[in-house]
Amino acid sequence: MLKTISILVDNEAGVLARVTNLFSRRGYNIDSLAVGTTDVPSQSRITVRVDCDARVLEQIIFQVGKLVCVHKVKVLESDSQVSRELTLIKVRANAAVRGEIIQIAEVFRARIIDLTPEAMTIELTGDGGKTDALLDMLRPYGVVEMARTGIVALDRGLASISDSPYIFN
Amino acid sequence: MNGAEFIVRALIRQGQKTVFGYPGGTVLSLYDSLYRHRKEIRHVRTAHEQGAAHAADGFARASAGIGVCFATSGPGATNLVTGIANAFMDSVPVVFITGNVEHALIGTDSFQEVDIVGMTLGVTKHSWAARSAAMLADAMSRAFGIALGGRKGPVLIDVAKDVLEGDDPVYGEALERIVPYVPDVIGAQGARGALDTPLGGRGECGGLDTGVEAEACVTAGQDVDAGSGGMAGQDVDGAVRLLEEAKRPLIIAGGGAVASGAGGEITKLARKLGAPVCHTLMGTGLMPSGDPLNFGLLGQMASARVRAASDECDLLIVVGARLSNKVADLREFGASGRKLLQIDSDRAEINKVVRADVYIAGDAKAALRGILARSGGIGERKPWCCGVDVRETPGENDEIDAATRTVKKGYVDPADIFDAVRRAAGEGITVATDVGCHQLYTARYFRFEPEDRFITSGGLGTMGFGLGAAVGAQIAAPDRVTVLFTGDGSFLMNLNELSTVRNEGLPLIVVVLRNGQLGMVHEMQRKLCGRRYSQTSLGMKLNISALCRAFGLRGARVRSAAELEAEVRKAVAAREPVVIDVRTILRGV
Ligand SMILES: Cc1ncc(C[n+]2csc(CCOP(=O)(O)OP(=O)(O)O)c2C)c(N)n1
Ligand SMILES: [Mg+2]
Repeated sequence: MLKTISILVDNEAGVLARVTNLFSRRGYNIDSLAVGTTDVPSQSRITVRVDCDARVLEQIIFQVGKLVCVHKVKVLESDSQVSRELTLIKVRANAAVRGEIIQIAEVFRARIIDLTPEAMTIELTGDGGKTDALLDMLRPYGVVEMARTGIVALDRGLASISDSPYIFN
Repeated sequence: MNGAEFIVRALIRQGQKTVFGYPGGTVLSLYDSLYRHRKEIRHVRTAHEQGAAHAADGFARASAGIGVCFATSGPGATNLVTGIANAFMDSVPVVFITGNVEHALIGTDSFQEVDIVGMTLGVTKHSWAARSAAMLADAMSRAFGIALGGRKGPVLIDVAKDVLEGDDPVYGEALERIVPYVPDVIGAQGARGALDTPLGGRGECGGLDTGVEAEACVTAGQDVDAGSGGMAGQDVDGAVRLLEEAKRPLIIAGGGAVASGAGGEITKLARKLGAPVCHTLMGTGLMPSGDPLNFGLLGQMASARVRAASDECDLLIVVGARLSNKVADLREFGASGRKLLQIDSDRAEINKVVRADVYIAGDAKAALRGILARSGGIGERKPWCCGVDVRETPGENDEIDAATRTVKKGYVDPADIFDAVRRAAGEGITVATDVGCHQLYTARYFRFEPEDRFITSGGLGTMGFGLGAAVGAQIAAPDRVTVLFTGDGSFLMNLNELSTVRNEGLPLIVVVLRNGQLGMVHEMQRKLCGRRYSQTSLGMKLNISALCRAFGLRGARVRSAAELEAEVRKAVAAREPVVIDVRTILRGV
């Protein structure tokens, strides 16, 4: 089962290494990971999506919670979160196919952010599911490269990581 | 004041009177400060950094305090790694401080530069790469608290050479703020010691007679699935209810029970419930061997009655034990319909391998006191225990019956070795071991008395741990007789520390249980490799007495239990070190 876990950490050098080291040494499978600062300059937020069962989820919460740099952990429920991922896809696009590709992009509500005589770069924002579908559509034209940010997510409504029951250091 | 001077003064302020370590280029200034403060703080220079790390570990265990260990950058730091991992696996509080190259050189593969923080991420509770005075000040003011808070463990502070050498005004203020650390008995997690709010446990557990505030919860059949606090909080009453319902409770005591000094509480609870107590390797010595309710060691060397008790019990009360794969049979527990009550200062241990029906995430001693205070309704029960009248059961030692004891001339049976040392060394001693058959034999057959202390490498199983650890333990408790039982393989790994024994004038008693083999692996090869004994024979050629003489120590070869006893008595009376070479047969494990 895919779980979205938010981890509030110190915004300090080495913190990401500690968290990812823990995940890899304990064999938790990271599906997606994103890190960035928050409205509080001293804190960063790590959003991980992990494929795990309830027992491993409990382990993740409390093993992560033992890291001194971790303050709060929250498991975001799939039905009460909003999540987004940004993807950039560069695809071969000469004049002959340019129109088709633009049409595909429109269907996915993706934007064209760079265009040259041979290539086009498309930006897609979504909750992750659309990305693979768009990629499948673009493959026949020749995908040159792509990059994705990993999923970030927040609770819906006024709920936030502040009301998490898992408060650590 | 420079960083080095700050470190030394901070240690003194925190009441640390002993440091282990080894000097080098990047820590010149640190050793210069130690020289200046040599009347206030004793530095023990070992033969090797690994020995220093194990000594700091043994010191922490024997003093129930904290160990401190210094090393230089590069090879000095990497030599610590086994010792750091060992302390981590056994939850021993040690503050490791390493020098590193100047901060401007870091990342350039300069001479003796290694990323020791990166290398030890997985085996430290926390670590700091102190690249500025402010970072060093912050690290020193938190290191002790983190190492000692909740589940104990090692921390590492890696300090750039220029930070050690540079003067800075922050040190003065930081020093003012440093006070001796008072352990927080609640301690479930990390630096702050307590896990306040998760699962809403704390409030609901308040008001115990003992003032315990532990997080106690019932989890049966529930999911953590939710961030909504999927596990309902409940107080210690949940635990008491399980105890009331149980007909055949069995207590499992591990290193966490020893670390929290919960021997008395476990004994009380065992008597009240009529529950036998089994212990993990790390729980050895928590209860005297002679106590009829102490059934003994779990795991591969478990006696028949331990196996019977764990088969027949209907409630397992696990106190400070991680249920590792060494006690694999207990991991099957969930399916059997029997109940599990788990007490652990580390919340992450709860439900890790077996789902607990009720747990208390908090200090073992405090939690047990809480339970005892609330279990007035449980009348004193007679021991159950598998049809064996436990009051009649003789001590574990007698299970090696006379008929099977070693008869080979010049050899002494392990049971006789332990009996002889026990008689000669008196009570209230520290017993340390290395790793191998001799280690499990000591845990299984040595007759521990109430004030004894047992020190072993349980989690990492580090051959070569023993001598360093015994050095540290002897220094922590100079008036205690300290005996190291080591194997001929383990002894060879770090015997360089005999020079430390000599230099520091430690009255250590080292007993080498010499079977001419890497016994434990030899045994595996017998069972699993069709008796193809690949590289596990040591032979008997090493002249241990001559070796010890070269170190300026007395070595003695003994050929009977009586000779062994006489040697130990002599050493105890003279308060002088001795290394005793005793040939023995370790009958498999
Ligand atoms: C550093 C290290 N290397 C290898 C091992 C694997 N090992 C476990 S027990 C053992 C043999 C120990 O021999 P000895 O010290 O003579 O003890 P005995 O089993 O003979 O009593 C070995 C090689 C280990 N535990 N630690
Ligand atoms: Mg041996």
